[in-house]
Amino acid sequence: MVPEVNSYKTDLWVDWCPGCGNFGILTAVTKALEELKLEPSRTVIVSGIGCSGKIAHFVNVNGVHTLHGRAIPFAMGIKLANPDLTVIVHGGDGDLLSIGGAHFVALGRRNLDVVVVMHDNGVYGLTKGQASPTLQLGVKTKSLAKTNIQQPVNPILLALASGYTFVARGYALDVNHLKEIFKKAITHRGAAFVDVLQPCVTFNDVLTADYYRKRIHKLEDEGGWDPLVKDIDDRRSKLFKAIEKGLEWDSKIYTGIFYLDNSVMAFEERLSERLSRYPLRNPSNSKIVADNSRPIIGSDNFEKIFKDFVVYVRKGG
Amino acid sequence: MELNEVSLILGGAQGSGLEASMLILSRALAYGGYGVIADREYYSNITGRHSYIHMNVSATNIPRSLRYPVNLLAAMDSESIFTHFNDVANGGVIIYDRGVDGKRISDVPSMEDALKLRVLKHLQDLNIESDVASILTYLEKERRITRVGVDFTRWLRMLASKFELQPRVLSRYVSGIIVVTTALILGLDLEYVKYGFEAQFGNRKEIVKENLYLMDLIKEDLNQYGGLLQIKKPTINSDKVMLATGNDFVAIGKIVAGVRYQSYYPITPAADESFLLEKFEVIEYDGDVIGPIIVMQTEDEIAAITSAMGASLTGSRSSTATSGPGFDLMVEGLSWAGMNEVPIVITYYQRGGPSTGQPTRGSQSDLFNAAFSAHGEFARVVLSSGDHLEAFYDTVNAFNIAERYQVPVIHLLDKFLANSLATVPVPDLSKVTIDRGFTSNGGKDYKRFDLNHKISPRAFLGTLNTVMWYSGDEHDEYGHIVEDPENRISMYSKRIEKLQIIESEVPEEIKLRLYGEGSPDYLIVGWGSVKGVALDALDELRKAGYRGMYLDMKMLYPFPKKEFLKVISGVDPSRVIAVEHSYNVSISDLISMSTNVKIVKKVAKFTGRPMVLNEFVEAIIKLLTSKEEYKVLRYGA
Amino acid sequence: MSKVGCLCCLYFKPHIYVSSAGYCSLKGRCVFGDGVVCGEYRDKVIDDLKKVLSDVGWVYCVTCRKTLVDEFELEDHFNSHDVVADVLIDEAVSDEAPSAD
Repeated sequence: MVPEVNSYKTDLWVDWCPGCGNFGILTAVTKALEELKLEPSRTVIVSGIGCSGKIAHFVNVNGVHTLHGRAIPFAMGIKLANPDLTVIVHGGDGDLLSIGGAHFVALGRRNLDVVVVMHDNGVYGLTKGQASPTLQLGVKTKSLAKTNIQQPVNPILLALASGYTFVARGYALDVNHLKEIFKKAITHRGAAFVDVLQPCVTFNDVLTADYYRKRIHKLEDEGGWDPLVKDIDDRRSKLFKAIEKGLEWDSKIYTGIFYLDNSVMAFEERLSERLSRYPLRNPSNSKIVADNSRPIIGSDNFEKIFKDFVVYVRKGG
Repeated sequence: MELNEVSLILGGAQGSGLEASMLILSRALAYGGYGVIADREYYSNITGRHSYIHMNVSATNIPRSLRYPVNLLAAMDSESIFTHFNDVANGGVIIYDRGVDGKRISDVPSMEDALKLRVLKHLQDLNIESDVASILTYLEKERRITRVGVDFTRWLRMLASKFELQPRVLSRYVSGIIVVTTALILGLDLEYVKYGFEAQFGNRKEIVKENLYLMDLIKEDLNQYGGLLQIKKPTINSDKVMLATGNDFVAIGKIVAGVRYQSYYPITPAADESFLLEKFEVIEYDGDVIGPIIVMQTEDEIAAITSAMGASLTGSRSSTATSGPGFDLMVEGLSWAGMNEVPIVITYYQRGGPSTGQPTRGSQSDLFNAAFSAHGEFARVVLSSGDHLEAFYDTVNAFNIAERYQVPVIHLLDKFLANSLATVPVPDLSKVTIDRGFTSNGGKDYKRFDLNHKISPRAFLGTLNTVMWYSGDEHDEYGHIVEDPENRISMYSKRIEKLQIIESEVPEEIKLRLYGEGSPDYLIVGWGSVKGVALDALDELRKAGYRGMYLDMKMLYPFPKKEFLKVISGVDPSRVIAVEHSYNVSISDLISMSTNVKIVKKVAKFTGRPMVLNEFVEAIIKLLTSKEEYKVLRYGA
Repeated sequence: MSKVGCLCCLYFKPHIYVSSAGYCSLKGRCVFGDGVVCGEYRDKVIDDLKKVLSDVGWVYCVTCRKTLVDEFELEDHFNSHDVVADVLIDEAVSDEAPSAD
């Protein structure tokens, strides 16, 4: 069942601030789903906490609005148990890189086939604009009483170091470009990360739309940019190039695909080497109950299956 | 005189072969038709510290509790003698390596100072030197304890002259020596021991063969000690038993219950359960496959519970296993499960707290943590199990309750149960059913939190033509965030009022069980692993003229008030005694807040070692015959 | 050294728990070290252990059941204790060691 145009949005009133970058992300993601004709019942948006977390309610596919920092492990459980589902995580920069940092790294290590979209605005919007882990050192946004004295973490570099096999950056107010990145991220098999630069009009007067307009350059506009890892030998040089571009910030901020590696096994494939018939037979569709409410392991096969624990007492005496 | 029952300690350095000794001996005894329970006591250490197995072997029934003093101490090293010599009964036996005769306490670097000082003081009081030989001579003279000094090196040398020994497997023979010597002293048929070796080292024929050769050597050398503590021929009428730990039984219960996703972060004493599940991740059977069970070692306990909830939303039976510190990290997730009515099973093995506490020692001090942790009000269920077999059935019950009422279920166990090895009847599978609760095929206007039902029918993520939402925020019937006060009342009440349904629907046998004679003159109330010692105490106390009952509280939350009050109504409140491995004996507080019944007499133990029969019986008698209200037990090294 | 036997021999690697038994690197097999020594016995001198310490990074004091990582420690233990260049870890340790934290 593929909904008609625009029915990928729910009819809820969207309560983000006027001019919020989240609107661009919402439109880009719904358009991407629409163009990929993803069936809503087979698609799940898993979100964290904060303004970005609400996106799960605004998209007309399954939505799981979770806990602060924990969208990734929820998504992992969903995806592993039902690998047929398309699973997309949305979280803020505080959510994914601060409170949820361990999960962000772990997903890269696993290369599980999940997309992570980071709403990156440099602040904790819903709690009144505290500094987030991507806010630059020495910056004082209007909501901060004092200058930020913590260093930012570089999301692109962290994703590369963690093992994400698709690493990209988009800009929330360049919806078509962002949509194309989302489509590629969703169709990529493996852990995909999209850092979405997003102005927070209410609390961040430093990373504004104007700030980004002056600095953003598309990687694909650079002559000869090709992020695709051709083979294992090519991996190192592509990683270096991605890191080099990822390090840019002050005068030039790159958007586009930094790194794309299809040569790494997705976690589901690693699992299928251990679990025969996975992912076809998986936790969500494998039988657990026989007729008349009995477990499929019953008196007839229990002792055979658990024979290592059964001792047959010697006869006689 | 032949013995109905034998208690013994196998002691040695952690990692040196005790585990294999316990398994071989237990297998041999089980094969011979004896009942066995073996508690493992060990340090938070990989290898080298003092570890011991405390066993009770019975010819007449399946043992339920441990005893001091023991009849036999098999010491692999001098530390075992220094630590346990005082626990050996008059007329008992100590097996030891003659090579340690000259060792003094001061020569043992791994012994903790506090214990050294205590033992030294005791030896001083007895006026004995602090070396092994002096202690053994004293025990022989004053307490008729036979020392069976064996020469480990000599036997190993003889073995080496016959076989090409791999020096890396020497502990396998040391285990063999301990087992065979013990078996000889108990007068066991050595065929049983042969079975034990084969079952333990089945895939390594050479080690079986070498141990059997060793067995012949030992038999010849120690002929004079044969049957020194002769145990009776077994009279337990059973043609088969299971020999497994509590961890094993929970894992097996999960497999039978149909768990399909289990997550964990390594922690004691829970990790063994997940190891076992991993072994059974795919069960090839009859040309088909049962499973798969995905066992995920996550990055932390937070990911463990949240990923299990994610898996549960797809319709997979999901669970996680942990102990106190890990559970603490899971608590925010628990609250989400309550808010979103997610069926999930958390197997919670208690150990000594607070903080890291005593990671490898037992405790029941987390009752309140299981029942009351997490912010907000919501329905949850806390179940406990009194023994290995119950742990199996309760694991299945936990999943059924979780799905039937769409709640998180905490299955509260402890280290004693988790780690102890026991002979247990094979579970009766005809008693096991699977209840997946109210499910829905979804559809276009599906409402996950449909208010027409107290328990809204559950469709799973991925159901055809169905979309649904979940949110940790207060939500409407679709799962969307709403803060409307009227909706809040409906949703909030719906979630909490499931507790009343649970209280009224869950069968009484899952809530509590009563043991002993009717119209008792005293009643013991407890939960979890104190069941075994409490039941054995009833028998002992009956011999002393007391008619007692034991009330095992199995469902701790929601507390089964009605059933509890029915039991307690006929009993004099001053003759009710609550028992628990904790300081506070929290069960009495839980009862008091749930029913207004005040239990003032309490037996507590918080050394991390399990309550043993003798101290337990003494404490009960003291509480019944004096004005004392609180007894703290402290036995065991 | 406190006694004569394989424990004092350069070629001997004692078993972690049964220190009278172990592995002889010269003979390449299991040996039992208490009492009598064989013709190939070579008394271990402190310089042998100092060399191991500098090459491998540690030696082991059987008496104290302690790993020694610097020369001062080695000198302290050498005269009155059984110090060896290496210890034979039993294969059973991985089965035997409990999950313990």
